[in-house]
Amino acid sequence: MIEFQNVVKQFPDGFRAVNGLSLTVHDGEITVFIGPSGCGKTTSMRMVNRLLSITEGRILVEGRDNRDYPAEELRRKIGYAIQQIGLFPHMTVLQNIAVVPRLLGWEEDRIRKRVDELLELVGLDPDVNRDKYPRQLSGGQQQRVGVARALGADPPIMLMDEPFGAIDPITREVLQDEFLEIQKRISKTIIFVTHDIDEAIKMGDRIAILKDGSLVQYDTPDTLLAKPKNRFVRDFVGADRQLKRLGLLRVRELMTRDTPNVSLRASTDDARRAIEAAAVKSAFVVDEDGVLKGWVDREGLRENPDSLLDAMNEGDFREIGVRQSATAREALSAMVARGFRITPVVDERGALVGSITLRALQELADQGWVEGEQAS
Amino acid sequence: MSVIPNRIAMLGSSVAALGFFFLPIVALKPNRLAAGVPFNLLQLQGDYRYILLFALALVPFMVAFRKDVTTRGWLLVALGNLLLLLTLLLPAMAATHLLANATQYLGENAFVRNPRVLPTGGLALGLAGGYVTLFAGLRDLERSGVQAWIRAIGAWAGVAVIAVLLATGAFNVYSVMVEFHTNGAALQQKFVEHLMFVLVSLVVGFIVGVGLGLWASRDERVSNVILYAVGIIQTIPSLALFGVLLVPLARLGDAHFLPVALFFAVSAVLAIAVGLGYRALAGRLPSRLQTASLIVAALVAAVPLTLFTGVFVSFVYRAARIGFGGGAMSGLDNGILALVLAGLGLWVLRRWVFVRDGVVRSLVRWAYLLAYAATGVLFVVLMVRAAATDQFLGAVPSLSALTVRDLGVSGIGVAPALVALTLYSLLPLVRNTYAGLKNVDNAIIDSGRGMGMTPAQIFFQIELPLAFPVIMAGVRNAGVALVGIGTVATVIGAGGLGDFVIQGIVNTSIDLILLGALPAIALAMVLDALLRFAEGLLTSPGIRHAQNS
Repeated sequence: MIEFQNVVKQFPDGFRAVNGLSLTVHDGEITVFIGPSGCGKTTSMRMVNRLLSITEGRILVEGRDNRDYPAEELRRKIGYAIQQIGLFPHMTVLQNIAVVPRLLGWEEDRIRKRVDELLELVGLDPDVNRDKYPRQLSGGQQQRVGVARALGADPPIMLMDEPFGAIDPITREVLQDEFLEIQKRISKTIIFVTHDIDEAIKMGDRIAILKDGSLVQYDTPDTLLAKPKNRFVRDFVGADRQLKRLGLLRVRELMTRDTPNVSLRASTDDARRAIEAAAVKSAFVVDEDGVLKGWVDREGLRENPDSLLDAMNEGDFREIGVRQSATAREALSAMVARGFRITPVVDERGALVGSITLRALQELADQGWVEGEQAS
Repeated sequence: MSVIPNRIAMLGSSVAALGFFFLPIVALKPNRLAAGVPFNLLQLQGDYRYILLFALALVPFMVAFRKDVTTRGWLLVALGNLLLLLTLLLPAMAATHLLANATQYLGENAFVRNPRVLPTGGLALGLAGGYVTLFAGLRDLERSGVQAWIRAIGAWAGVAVIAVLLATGAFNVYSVMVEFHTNGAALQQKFVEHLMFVLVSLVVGFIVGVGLGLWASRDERVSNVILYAVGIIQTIPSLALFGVLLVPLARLGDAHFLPVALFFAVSAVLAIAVGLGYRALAGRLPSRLQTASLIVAALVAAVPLTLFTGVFVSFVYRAARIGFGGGAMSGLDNGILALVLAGLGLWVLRRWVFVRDGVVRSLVRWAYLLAYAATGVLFVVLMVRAAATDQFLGAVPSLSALTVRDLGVSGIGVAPALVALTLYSLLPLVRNTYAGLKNVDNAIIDSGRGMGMTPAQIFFQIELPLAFPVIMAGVRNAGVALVGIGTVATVIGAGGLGDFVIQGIVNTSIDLILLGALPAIALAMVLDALLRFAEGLLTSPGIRHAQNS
């Protein structure tokens, strides 16, 4: 746990970069510091491992004032990864990752094992990459090594200053996903600095929005998007914050489970009854295994009253359905693209598990919007 | 990618061919002083060897149009080497004929004594053309990805053959070689002298210069003062600097050692006090006053530093001359050489012949560290023993009679040369150290700090290895420059290869000038190559290609 208590940072030229910051970074969570440039986010982070001195107030690291530790000892306990990566170009990948373990005086065998373990964790083949130099790696690989190096001595806490900032957007997405996977396994307490709100929403368990050295709002991404505290936060998270919020929600959590559906073998009468019973316009058609095969609506039944196979609209589940693991934003996008007001939800095999309606998504967004308006 | 013709090879070919065609290749001289009779291509009565040489010079021009870069590269390398070799060898062979019939060419009245053949413009351009062609070929090979060590063999093959032929006496007809045979023993001594004052000033300059560069890189205000000061030194003509040092060093030499030592101790204590005072006060003073007090501190510190450097370097030089020069000490100096080589061998073994096993590895490590420690101890013992001989301090009756001159400091001779050369070496060393350290990416240092490295660890494990190639480039610059400037040191009686040059100028004997100049050029090139080799060996492969020298 890291606790900021009324922390002030004033530089020798009189500039107050951080002005009475108080917040708690919870164990095992990624806490994102975000804000416009000059808001004090990096300064706040750099005071944690005392790369910058604290002018007033204090920072507790695992319950102790961080000034009680000798500076070097403190820093060796805290992983550190930065935007420019900062790999040592004259050292091999192994030597880079081994820096902190060597500073701590680990045995060579233990270091080698740890390095291989870390390289595998970040998705690099140890035998191929161990003895390479940074310039022989791509930007994405270098960043992976940078993360592995920050994890070198298995520190409980990590500081990450725009670690994916200098990388092309596609690789950045991949690295973000990979890092979230890694974090699921290692559960570090992480302070993550970025200026990219999309990255913050994706990576953060909690987001602290800073402005002019002060904390403006500190909340989970969903709350932040649904209930921005004031105009500044609303502007900062962007006009499309409702869409962003949909990006946080999974279809699994929003869908209706009892969806009208009929078997391929069923008669047209069965289908008509099912539709009328649910008071909807259409029903989904599934095969014996429950796999989505298409849909049938009232109009189709009227034109082909004898055969369900003729009446139904056939479609592959990959084309017409959305996965239950997809985000609500993806579901919305699919509906808009296909012109559906309702879309079936399927599992990995393609079996129908529920459905989600455009109206449900709209209501969700409206609810957040109204609350947000009232709050400001 | 379309292959363009190798223009450099065309240039080399043209230079050599035009030189052979228009300029005299050699001149026949009856003795050291008389002007010679020049011979050019057409005057050599159709000797087939000259025609062959001329034809050879044209070949690279045609090869330059080949499309296959690798083959072209190898052909050009071969032609360049051949041109270098034959430009020296064929005229030498033809010249034996000239010498045999000297009277016929020079006339009956010529005073023939030690007749020799002077290489002239045509031959020089031929060598230049050969070198350019070789270079052009090496570039092609580099482009087509031929490994560095194979290219190195190609680059040095011709020179190696020439060296062997030189040793067998194939070039003895040339005037420089004639002078070499008459002055051989003197040349060896002058060469050693030259090498020693270059190396001693380079080592001292390295210690002082890297120190100053480090200081400059740490403190922005100091950096202006230091870089300005070493820049000013570089603008003083070397002759003037030798002259300026003459008087103070002569006065210093006259002084007795004890009062000088006392003065040194007092000024050193004073300098340390001023330095500490500056550090304590620097933060609190207004910036102008800060700069002023900094300059005062620097000047106060400069007095003992200069004094110590001058005396210490002169002493080491003189002791080393006696220690390594006199036969009496041969046991120790061979021991030092053996230890240095053994240490180097062990170090290479550990680094390149991968000794994986932990115990063996650390044994090898301790062994080479021990070898270097022993080298240092032996060196000090050698210095002390040399100093104690009758040729040095042993002749001084008592401590109170000891003058600074007895330690090797005097107005003329080696002392002013060493001081001046050390000063000249400072600019490249300070500037490169400063630039090298300043260029280390801040993000890299920041992550070192963020991971918990101490300032010393950051300096030795990050900054120094990264700045190393740049610092070494400065050392090479300084070394090569010192070999050249060192030839001027002869005017204040410091000796060295400049002796031959001055003698040659006084006697208008170009042969003697060359006898001084050619070894100096060779020394500069070998020194540069050795330092380059050491640089390559010690630079991490991770940054080796990132920068060009």
